[in-house]
Amino acid sequence: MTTKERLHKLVDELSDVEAEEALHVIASRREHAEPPSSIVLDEFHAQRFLEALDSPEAFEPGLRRLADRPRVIGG
Amino acid sequence: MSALHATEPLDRRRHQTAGFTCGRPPLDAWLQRYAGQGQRRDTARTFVTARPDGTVAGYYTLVAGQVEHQDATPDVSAGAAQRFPIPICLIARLAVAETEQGRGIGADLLLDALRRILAASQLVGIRAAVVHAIDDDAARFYARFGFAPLAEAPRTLMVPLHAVRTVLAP
Repeated sequence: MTTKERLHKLVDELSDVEAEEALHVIASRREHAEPPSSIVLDEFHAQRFLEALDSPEAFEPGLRRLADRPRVIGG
Repeated sequence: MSALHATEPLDRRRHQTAGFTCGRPPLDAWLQRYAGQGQRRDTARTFVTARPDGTVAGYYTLVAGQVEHQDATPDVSAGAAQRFPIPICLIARLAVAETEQGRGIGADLLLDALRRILAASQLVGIRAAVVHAIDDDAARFYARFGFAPLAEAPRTLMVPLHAVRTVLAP
């Protein structure tokens, strides 16, 4: 029996509840396999994102804290 | 504790991932089952720091992405929506083995990720580095180093590339 035939047989044997669960598992596995790379924002968050891009200096103190730490890796 | 090698691309022939446990099973599963697939399919790049015996002590994964406005359409001509989509680089995963936690390795990995994103931004347009924090503790970790919330679900935080360049560029 080919993999495709085995899958068809398996799907035929699933109850509705099991099929629903299987879809959740597949969706979860897919998200693990390929992390979502598109982020969709509503108007409020989109505006906030644009404001952040236009005010980069506000992010610099935290980044300096990161850059100024003593290193562990490769040391 | 042994020294950790500088980060390098995940290489299944040299890096041991089977026993990697960071306390968050989805991040373990990603490294052990999917990170290699991402490399082969050119959908994600995973970088690891390993002990001298090749055991992975921590890793992060970078993915190209974009931020979209829910109302943006090809013919949109006004308002904030016209400035979207915006290209970003997503730090899609970042994890440190439980046995190595508390040493500052996570912060080193984050800094390393930002340096690589900065280098990539010389070749392709990237306006921000974005992270999906797996939980509130992770979100606080990123916030400590300047990342600001972008969206609540999932917990998403960002820093503008301009700020990264100002602080990290030689």
